[in-house]
Amino acid sequence: MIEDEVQSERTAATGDPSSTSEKPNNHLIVYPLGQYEIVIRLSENNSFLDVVEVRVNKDFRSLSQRIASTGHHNAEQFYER
Amino acid sequence: MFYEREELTGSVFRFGDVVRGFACCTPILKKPLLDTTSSLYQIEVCTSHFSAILSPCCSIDNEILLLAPLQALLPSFFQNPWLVEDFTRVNRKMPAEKSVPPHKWQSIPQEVKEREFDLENDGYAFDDFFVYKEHPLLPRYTVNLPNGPNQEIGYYIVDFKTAYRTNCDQIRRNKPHPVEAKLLQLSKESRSDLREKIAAYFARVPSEDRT
Repeated sequence: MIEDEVQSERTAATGDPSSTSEKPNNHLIVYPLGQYEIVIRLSENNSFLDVVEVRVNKDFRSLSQRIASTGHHNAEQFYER
Repeated sequence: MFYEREELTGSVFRFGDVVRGFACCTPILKKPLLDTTSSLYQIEVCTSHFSAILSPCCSIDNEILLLAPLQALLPSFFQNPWLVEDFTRVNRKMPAEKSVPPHKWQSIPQEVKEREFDLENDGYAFDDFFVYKEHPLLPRYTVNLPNGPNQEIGYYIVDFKTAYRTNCDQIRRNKPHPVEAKLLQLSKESRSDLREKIAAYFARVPSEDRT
């Protein structure tokens, strides 16, 4: 799974000895592009290496739907005036 | 980076810009003017030192500018040490337990937390406000705190409830904007924070409208 690889390479970048990645200095980023997500491999100095995967963004909500579902905290009432 | 670097600041007005020189006019009524016997009202005119542009970038046109005055920070913000570390945290979603002072959070009953906070997701607190970070071009001022020494700071807030409209002949698409009135431009990230927070402010659904 790409998600596992992303996690694995992030782990490698942090120096976790449990990582088994063979490319410890490379890392993956997920770039949102419209309804798609592009998984890109970058080198240690953030140079582009290759495209690992193009996948569909499974969050099908529109921007307005995402905003409408935003959480709110009614915190002001707990401050002294 | 909260503000755009000076050399990258454009010569056109953008959503979130800090500007100066625009008058604010507020009608003040004792009650709605529904008949001739209730015609008493006042009009308060002020020249706010600094205002933020709340017109979306694409709507800065037709000689109309939507603005809100930059105001002093709320003294209550100082009760929350997590906000004191960076007042611009008010601009973004936060965990429920960070949205109130720690000692208060511990004293709130669980059923109240479940009713008043989103315990599963980060959310906005202080829905009406957006904080502008201190900058050498913004004068510092003193906040009077009731339970502690007064604080000198340079942070400001915009209260979405105080937005007002100003007409200005120089606000037209494809015409030079009065760039001399423009003081600061938000970075792309900060402008995105403002856009998302003001959209969420208007997108709140009251409980009586929820199915």
